[in-house]
Amino acid sequence: MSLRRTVLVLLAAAVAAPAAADQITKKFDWSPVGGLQDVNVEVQRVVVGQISFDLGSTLKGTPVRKSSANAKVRVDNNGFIDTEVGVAVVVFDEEGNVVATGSGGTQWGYLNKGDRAHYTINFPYVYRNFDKAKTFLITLETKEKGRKAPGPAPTPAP
Amino acid sequence: MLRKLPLAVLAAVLAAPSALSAQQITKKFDYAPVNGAQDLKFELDKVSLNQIVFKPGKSLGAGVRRSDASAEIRLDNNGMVDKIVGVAVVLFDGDGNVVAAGSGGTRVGYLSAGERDTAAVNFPFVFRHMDKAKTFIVTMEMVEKAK
Repeated sequence: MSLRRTVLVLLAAAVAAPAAADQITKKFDWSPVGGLQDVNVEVQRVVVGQISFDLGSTLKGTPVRKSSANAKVRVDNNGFIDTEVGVAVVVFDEEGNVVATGSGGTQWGYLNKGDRAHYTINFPYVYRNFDKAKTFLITLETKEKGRKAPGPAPTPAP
Repeated sequence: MLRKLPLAVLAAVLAAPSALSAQQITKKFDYAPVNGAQDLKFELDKVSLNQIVFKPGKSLGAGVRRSDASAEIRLDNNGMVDKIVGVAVVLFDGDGNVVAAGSGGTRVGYLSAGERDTAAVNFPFVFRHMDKAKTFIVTMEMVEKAK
């Protein structure tokens, strides 16, 4: 095979390989301590390890209805490749009503391999029954930069 | 005492909105929009949400990862009292994964009695699997204007 043909084949393979996008959803009981709760949601070595909830407030005495209620998630990229990250949080009361929901994630570029980031998820319009929360869902959505890098090479046998 | 009175009145006025409890209702629907639009039958205390328009989106580009995916909801206040309305929309795929989630509603003031309004629910960071949506839940939260 000529060098030119080999290059073309490799190029075609690289273009055809879609950037892997994956997703997982996990449900948790609502049990924050001081607003903080440890969780473990992992996709392709990207981990949501902690979430902190802030019930927020509104600008009382003004006509502005948006709330400052939010959650902050701590996300670690323990993998070998830079990744786009999206995190959705849905908080339910015991009857299954949504009492807060929103999403946060990579604003620009990537969460680089080996890095940690904190993303804020705002709950601006549905928040008035946030104090009745009983469970919540976390969805972690990732999209890797280019192709997935190979894992570490195995140790050679003696 | 007279000097303290206005402060007490002011404090009571500022605290009043938090004392009002928010009514709430949640309903689940199959995801079946036609050209993005889906009619709903969803009502709480004479405020109805009767249409939602889904707008799947993509990243804004040039390295920006936020998406322009959103849904637009149409709210009618068919009651006699002005209200503050909040709406949460959560889309699920067939496996129960959240593929989009967000909230929208009254930004300033009230949805006046007899009025119609639309509100955007943005899905900026979790949107890449929105085309796999199978069901969605809508929660409407509402507070009446104090009389």
